[in-house]
Amino acid sequence: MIELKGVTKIYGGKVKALDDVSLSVDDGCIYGFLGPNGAGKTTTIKLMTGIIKPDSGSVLVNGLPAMSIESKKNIGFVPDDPNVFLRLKGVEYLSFMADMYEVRSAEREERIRELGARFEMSSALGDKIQSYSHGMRQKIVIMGALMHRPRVWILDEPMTGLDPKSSFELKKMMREHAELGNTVFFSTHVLEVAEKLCDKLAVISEGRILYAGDMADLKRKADTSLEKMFLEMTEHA
Amino acid sequence: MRKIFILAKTLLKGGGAFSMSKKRRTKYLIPLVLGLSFAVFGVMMVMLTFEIFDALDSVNQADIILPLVFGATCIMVFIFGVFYVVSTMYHAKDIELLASLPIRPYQMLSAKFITLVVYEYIMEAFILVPVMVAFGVKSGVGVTYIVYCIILLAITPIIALSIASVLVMVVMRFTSFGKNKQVFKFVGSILVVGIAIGLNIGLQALTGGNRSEEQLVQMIESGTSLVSTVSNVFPGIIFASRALINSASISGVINLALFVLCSAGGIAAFLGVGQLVYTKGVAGVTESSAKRKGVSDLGKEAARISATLSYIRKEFRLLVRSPIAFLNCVMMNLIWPAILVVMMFTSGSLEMVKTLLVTMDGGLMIAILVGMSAFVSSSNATASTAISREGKQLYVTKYIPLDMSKQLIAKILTGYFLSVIGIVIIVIVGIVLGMNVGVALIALVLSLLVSAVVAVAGTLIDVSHPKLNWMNEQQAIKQNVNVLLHMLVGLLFGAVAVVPVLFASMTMVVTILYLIAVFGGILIVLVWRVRGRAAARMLDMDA
Ligand SMILES: Nc1ncnc2c1ncn2[C@@H]1O[C@H](COP(=O)(O)OP(=O)(O)O)[C@@H](O)[C@H]1O
Ligand SMILES: [Mg+2]
Repeated sequence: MIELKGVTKIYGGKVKALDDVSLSVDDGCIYGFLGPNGAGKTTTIKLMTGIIKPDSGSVLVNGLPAMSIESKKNIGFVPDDPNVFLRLKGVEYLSFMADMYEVRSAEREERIRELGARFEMSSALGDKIQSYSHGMRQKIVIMGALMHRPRVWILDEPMTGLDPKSSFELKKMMREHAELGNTVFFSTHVLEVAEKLCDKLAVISEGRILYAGDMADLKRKADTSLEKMFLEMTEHA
Repeated sequence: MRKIFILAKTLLKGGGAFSMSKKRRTKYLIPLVLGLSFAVFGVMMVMLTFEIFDALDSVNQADIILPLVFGATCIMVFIFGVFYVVSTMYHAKDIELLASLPIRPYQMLSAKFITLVVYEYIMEAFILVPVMVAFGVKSGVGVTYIVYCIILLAITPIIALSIASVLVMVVMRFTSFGKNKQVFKFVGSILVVGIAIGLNIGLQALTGGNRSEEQLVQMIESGTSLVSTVSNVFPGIIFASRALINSASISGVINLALFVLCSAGGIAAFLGVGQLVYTKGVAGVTESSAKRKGVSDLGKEAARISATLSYIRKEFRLLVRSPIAFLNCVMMNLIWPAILVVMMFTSGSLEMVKTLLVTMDGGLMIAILVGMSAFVSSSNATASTAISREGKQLYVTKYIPLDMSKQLIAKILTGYFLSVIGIVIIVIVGIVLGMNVGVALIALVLSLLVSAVVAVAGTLIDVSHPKLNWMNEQQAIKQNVNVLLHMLVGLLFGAVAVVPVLFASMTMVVTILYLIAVFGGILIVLVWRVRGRAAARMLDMDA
């Protein structure tokens, strides 16, 4: 459960990236966050993961303030930029993440094997991340985020650069995780991805939430096509 | 041909050898410093040549100078050439890009060769140019001499460079030597420092003292044998000096033509061998790093350690694996003590230092060592770029569930551990030179304290205005004003350690108490700042 109440974020005293945003992300469903480039998706996600502070309003994740260490432990976060620690080997990165999230010794070996097999990364783990393709970097970051079996998944444009097999695997894992009653929140600027994947959806444009609710409701409301509706919504914001 | 020159020009512009910071203030600084040091060195070389010329001229042997200097230039071009060739033709990032352009291998090879020749001109400027000037002045120059000089300067590096590159290309094609970039860079940087030190010592020896008749004869003999060896190794190089010596007569033209011919032969050999082995050799380098290997012992590789330790280990891995960070953060700790030692040995003041070490008051000695440690600790860029190095990925530090103050402490400790290496070396050198062991150990303990203060200060500086918006690590580390600020702070702490002790003529006990009180106090205040305001500032950053 993630709750934003009246959140405003202004960068450098000038750029108002979020304007009085309130959002409630329920458990047990896949929650999509759709908006054009520069709408404020990454900013919202950075607030949820405790990377930045809001100028006003509050951000709670499972009832804990997002900036707190306890809250950060509950979250598995996949940033939009997978170019992290390129000079570490894959296995060193996973091990580092496991140490940060205090994953028990007994668990981590099994976890690395399992995730390595699911994303077909086992054979690359001995190599530096620098030698990975964009998709492989995306995969190692996803694996790192899931090492500690977090309750809350927050993913920023996670499908970008993934091959079909990995994309399918990730969607399946998101579905499984949501069905166990956990939180799954992901952003995308691609309507088709949101349409196919999520149960609930929020649409953001220029820092304001334009719609938040069931995907099914939205489909029913859209008399012509979802795409047209999305375009209209974001244009007149 | 046009393509080759365009390519070479582009490579030179982007190569970084001459590129400098775009900031206005520093724009003229680097060329100015370089120009000034070149001028000083050049004048020194000219004076030295004058001196040697006169000495040799008294026995009618002055003509040996030119072949000697051409030989020396060839040797230097060769040694540096080997490293230039490996780094620009095998390890450079642009290789793959160039391979994808519609250019033939020989065009790419030629362009790279031209850039290498241009790099080597820098070397010539230091060795060959001053000697040519001095020789010309002494033996009376004509216009032809000047023209010959210019032609010779332009083509002299070619022979040695083509031999170096042929050698490298063959070795890279058929062996695995040089394929590990990191190891190669490490060996290379140590060798360069070694050569610089050796050159320094050699020049000191040449200039120092009066030469007797006997030494002169010996010099001529060893010079002659060196010249004949070099002409065997670098065929044709002898024509260069003959052309200059006989620049007034027809034999000069002939020798110059022969030299040009030999250089052309060198280029031909380079291109010929290059066509045969270069492409495969490069493929070997890029492939060997792309071969995927799994993890053999997952249990060991993924073993759990404490979060803070794991963080420090990550910092070390990133430092050691980035060439620029390695040089400026790790190697610095070896280079500064080395420079200090070399300065002692070559300035002829070794004896003085030794007597000082034995006779000087223990307290002052401790203060001086502590002061030196403060400076040496501040000269490695680890602590002062701890945040800057994160760059656009700084956000990672914000979402991982490790207390920000613990992360900062881990970063500080990384820099601190590296500084300790330099400090230990300094103290060992002190003991070897005859310093009292007890005093040295006290100095060591206090240096460990002051170094901690310096490391904490460095990271505090970087937290207060980190340079995060960079495209390559060069900008984060080498063009980071925090590094300079940190060195100033190191100098300041050094002064705080030494000056009061010197002027108040403190006794040893008072000195020790003074140092503990001052630096212990500063350390407590700074660590308190790290845990409080600095950590808060990190969390406030919008990244
Ligand atoms: N660090 C920053 N400093 C200043 N402006 C920023 C910063 N990060 C994002 N912005 C601005 O905030 C707005 C929202 O950006 P972002 O949240 O990244 O959008 P999205 O992820 O939806 O594409 C954009 O106008 C962007 O330019
Ligand atoms: Mg974004």
